Amino acid sequence: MLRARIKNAGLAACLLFGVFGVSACRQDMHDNPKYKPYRDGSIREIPEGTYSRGSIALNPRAPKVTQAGTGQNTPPAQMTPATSPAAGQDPSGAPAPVAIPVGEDGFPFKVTREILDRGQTRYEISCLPCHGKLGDGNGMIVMRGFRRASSYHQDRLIKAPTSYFYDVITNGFGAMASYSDQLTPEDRWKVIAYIRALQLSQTLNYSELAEIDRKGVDEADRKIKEKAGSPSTSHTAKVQTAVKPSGGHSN
Amino acid sequence: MPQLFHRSTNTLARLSIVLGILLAGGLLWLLLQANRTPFVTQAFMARQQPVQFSHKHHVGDDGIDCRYCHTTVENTASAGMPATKTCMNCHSQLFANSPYLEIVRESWRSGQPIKWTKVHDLPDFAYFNHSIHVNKGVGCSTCHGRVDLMPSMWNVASLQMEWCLACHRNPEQFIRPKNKITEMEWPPVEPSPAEFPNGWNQAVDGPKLVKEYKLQPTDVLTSCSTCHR
Repeated sequence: MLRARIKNAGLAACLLFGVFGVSACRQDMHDNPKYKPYRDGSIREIPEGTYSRGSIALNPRAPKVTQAGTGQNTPPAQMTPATSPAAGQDPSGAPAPVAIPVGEDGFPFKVTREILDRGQTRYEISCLPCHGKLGDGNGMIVMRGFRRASSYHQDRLIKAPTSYFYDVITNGFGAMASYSDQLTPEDRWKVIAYIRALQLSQTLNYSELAEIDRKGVDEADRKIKEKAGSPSTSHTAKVQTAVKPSGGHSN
Repeated sequence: MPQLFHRSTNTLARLSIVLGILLAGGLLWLLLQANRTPFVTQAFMARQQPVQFSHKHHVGDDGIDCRYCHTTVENTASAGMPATKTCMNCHSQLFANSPYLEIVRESWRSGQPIKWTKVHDLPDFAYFNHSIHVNKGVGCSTCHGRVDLMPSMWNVASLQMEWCLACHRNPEQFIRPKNKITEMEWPPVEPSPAEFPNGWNQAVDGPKLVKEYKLQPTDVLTSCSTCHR
């Protein structure tokens, strides 16, 4: 019995030693001496004048690309109105900057449902905190005391060309910082497309809506009334819901 | 020479063999269990950070989407840590004089990034890519828990291999629609009737999504080289 006990103790000691032995190697394997992103838990600012691959075609401020393929940085020139069909053509014969192909509506691509959906997602990530779900400038960050964000439904911004929005997203405006780090050039255009949809949503009459959207409005209306418990009023003026009344976030 | 041991010790000897095996097995089991406890995995242990950043406030109270700061989660292996500029988007005005944010302002002035403490530190021999998970319907809260309720960040997962495999073996139990990735409460307590007319039933809708999102079969998902490459 004594011998068995000694044996047991020896076995336990071996096991313990084994486990500690294994855990001793453990950290070497866990932390290889190699570079990985955020290894030391921090991030660098993106150096000025840096553009990610593939972003140039849609970026009016990207460095000019010459015929020979040599890139050079140009100082931020006056924003070319993206609606101008002549943008990118240089009569002097100098190497033309990469033109943004723009349609008549001011977008470099045909605006489809997919593009609007992507724009909505990106809008709700990057813009909604300040500009609010409806784009009226009543986001949560504004409620917390940030300077009030512009409403997209003011005359100035309804009339502004799409390139103006692109410029503001890229370079900031007033208290708003540049969002060029957070939104790729392509996404910026998609967000603008969604902003246009938001603007439309606030100026349309109920009678102009498609059947499915009317249902959405009715539903939202019913919910509001249920909450307020007040008798209903008829739809007269502006529709009070954004394009999609339901979504992940509320503000 | 008289017998040293009484006959009854034969039984004791046999018993001690059995007990010895049981004891060794029990000890091994105990060690394996101990290895799964938060004492070893450091799960549920809030980490101290240079700035008292609260996910509870930013996500829970303010409703800011995860991707406002973790911008690259859909495109790259790393979810991405925000640059100080991202903090300053709001904190140029909000809490602009708060002593809690002096480290942020100092970083903004000097250009030296803030050194955050990593909470989810996977071993280097495991390959992990955020983008493939997010783009195949694995939501943030599936692995990171209710971040919107965490003042300081902690991990709710052990990050051990058996935890990875629990999902790689049965992804249909965890998958969700791609547009609900950053939703913190999942499955939804009250699914919106417009989006889910039949509600959300993981047992029925999960396998459908696995098919729709074309997830690799489980023998590929559980193959060694999927994660150890």
